[in-house]
Amino acid sequence: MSSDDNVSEKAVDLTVLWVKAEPNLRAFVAATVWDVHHAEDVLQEIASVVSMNFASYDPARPFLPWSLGIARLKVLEYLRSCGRDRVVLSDATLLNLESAVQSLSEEDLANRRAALQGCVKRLAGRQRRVIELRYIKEKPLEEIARELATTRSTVAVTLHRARTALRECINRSLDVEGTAS
Amino acid sequence: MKSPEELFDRYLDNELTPGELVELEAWIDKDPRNAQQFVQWSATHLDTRTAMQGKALHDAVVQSVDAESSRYGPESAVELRHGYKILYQHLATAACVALVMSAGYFLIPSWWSEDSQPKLMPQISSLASDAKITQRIDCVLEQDRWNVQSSVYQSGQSIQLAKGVAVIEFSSGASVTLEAPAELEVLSGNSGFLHEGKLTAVVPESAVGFEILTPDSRVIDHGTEFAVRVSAGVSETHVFKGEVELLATRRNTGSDTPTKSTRLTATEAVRFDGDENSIGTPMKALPQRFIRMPPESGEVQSDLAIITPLPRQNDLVMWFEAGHGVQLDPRSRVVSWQNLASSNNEYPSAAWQVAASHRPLYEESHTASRPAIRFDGVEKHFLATTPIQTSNEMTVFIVCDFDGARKTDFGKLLMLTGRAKLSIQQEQGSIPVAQVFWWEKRKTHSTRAPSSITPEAPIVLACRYSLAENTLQLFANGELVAEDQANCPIATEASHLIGCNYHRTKSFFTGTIAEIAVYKEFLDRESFDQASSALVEKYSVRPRVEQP
Repeated sequence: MSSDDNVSEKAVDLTVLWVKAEPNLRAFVAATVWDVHHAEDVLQEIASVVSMNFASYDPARPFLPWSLGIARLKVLEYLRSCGRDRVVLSDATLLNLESAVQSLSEEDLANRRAALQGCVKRLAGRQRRVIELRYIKEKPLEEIARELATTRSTVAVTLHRARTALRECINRSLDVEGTAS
Repeated sequence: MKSPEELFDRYLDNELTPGELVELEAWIDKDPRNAQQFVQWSATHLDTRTAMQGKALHDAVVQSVDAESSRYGPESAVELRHGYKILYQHLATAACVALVMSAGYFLIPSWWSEDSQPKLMPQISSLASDAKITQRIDCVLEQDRWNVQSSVYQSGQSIQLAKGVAVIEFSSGASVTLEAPAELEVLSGNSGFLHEGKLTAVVPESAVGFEILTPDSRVIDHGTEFAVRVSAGVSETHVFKGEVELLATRRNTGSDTPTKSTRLTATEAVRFDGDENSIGTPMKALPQRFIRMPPESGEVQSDLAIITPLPRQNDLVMWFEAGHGVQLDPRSRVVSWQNLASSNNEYPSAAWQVAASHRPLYEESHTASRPAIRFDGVEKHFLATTPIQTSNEMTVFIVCDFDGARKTDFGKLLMLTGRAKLSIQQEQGSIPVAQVFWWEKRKTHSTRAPSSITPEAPIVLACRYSLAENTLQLFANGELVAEDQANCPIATEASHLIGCNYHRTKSFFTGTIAEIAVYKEFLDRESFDQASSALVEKYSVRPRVEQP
């Protein structure tokens, strides 16, 4: 077998493992790095370190805990870089979240993600507008309030209701899917 | 009181008050199901933007599935039958990843990408370094054996130390002293995996959270100095200052999930011996088991030690005094001896012995009841300095004692190395000689100043060397006892040796040394006499008796 074949095989091994672990890793990063834009960056850094360290990964061991170890370090690096600009969960809580991430199945997370695709389409009116401004335009609450000619607290309430609506929609979708299957 | 869901949303918007943060953490920590709920909500939060933006790429990925799915074997087919629709989409992306990776890049699965274009990761070589070696103490790196020399390391690279000690600075500011034989894998700018060997870590405030992983444990710093040892299935964590958080990991707990963390504070240690059921044996921290860098190295500071009133101290390049800055191992052997003349250097200068079997013995009360370092020529004791610049005009003082029953015929007290080598040595067991030798025209040349004295103990030997004055002089207690010509430049920057020749394999000195002072100047007579008198007085040296 040529070295090109070996590289290619190794790459496929990594990508298959990564794809399976990615929903959990993504969930862990999401839980600890609330800023969406930064969370994507951290996730990309994790992927980079995972790929560079893949040669030292022992295939006899589960991939998720190994990659989650790297994820935790990258998240801690990010949190340190934030200084006091944001609230940071305690080490003990981070560990509990790490355990929770490992206990969730990637299927569940993937299904929730798929359900979300349908749920965002159902968002309408002011809730949709607030979600768009917050998540796509990445505007802070004050700016959203100015743009919508309302108060900051009203925006916060609307945003909370929109998020709750999405979460409830996902749960309903999964319940229906579970009943149907 | 706000509901957990409200608290969570306020967390997302960075709106939590400290009290609300405590409430939210208490809720997460109370029940693993709450932690799961928090993670699921978080994932939804992160995916919301994706879901709002990702329609176009999602459609493209679905269309590409048919074309790419044939690359995967039965496993992916089984998964598909089980309805892993999203995973299937990812596998399609993954196929692209594999192709791109073979060209040297890693593509993040990015079905959500805003512009429908894959994100490419930079190649390793373009990434910033996460750690670098800032000091090498008599060390050999495995990579040096193959002409691959680098002091800079990125995540995923390993530092394999075959011999000696290396100081590694992580980009976070954490400083690690690694002791051979050892392998430390750099995981990030603030973490590493110690596969084998010993290290000590000094962590400044900027690097709090610095982590060292071992096969058995994870050590998380909380602003401290600590040490870790991994050897033959055993790993230990010792805390010298501050506090660390310690977690037993998979090999010990039989689980992928870390156990509840343990806090270790100063003077505490925990040992894992590979027992699957063990959560670690508490023990007392043993700082002397580890090599530490000054000023954290806890050197001996003798109550009797006084700084000798030497003249022209700014002209000193070496100044070793046995009462100051001696780092000892558990057997009272000398690991390092601080160079008092190096206070202005970026990195501390010292004389080192990284190999335990070659370390000289520290004697707390020897010369005039003051500390001294005992070298056993038979046991091949010696020390090597960090690189020190010498000049062609030098003055050297050594307070020594040729005592002991186990005399060797020939031994070097101090050798200034370089192309030409200046040494003060003992011959025929006890005759002091100053010598310079060099290699030229296919043979060794030398100038020698052999004395004819048998020194009383202790003695202050001194040597003045001047290329300009063309003189090599040897003194005993301030008196000139031998002289020759200089003939050869000796200036160099090198590691110099105390107790053996430059090969480090022979001419081991037998006796004690209490103090060494080396000037980068040919001292004038007045300064020379002043220095001699200061040392003679300090060590209660008796006047030399003329031999018949």
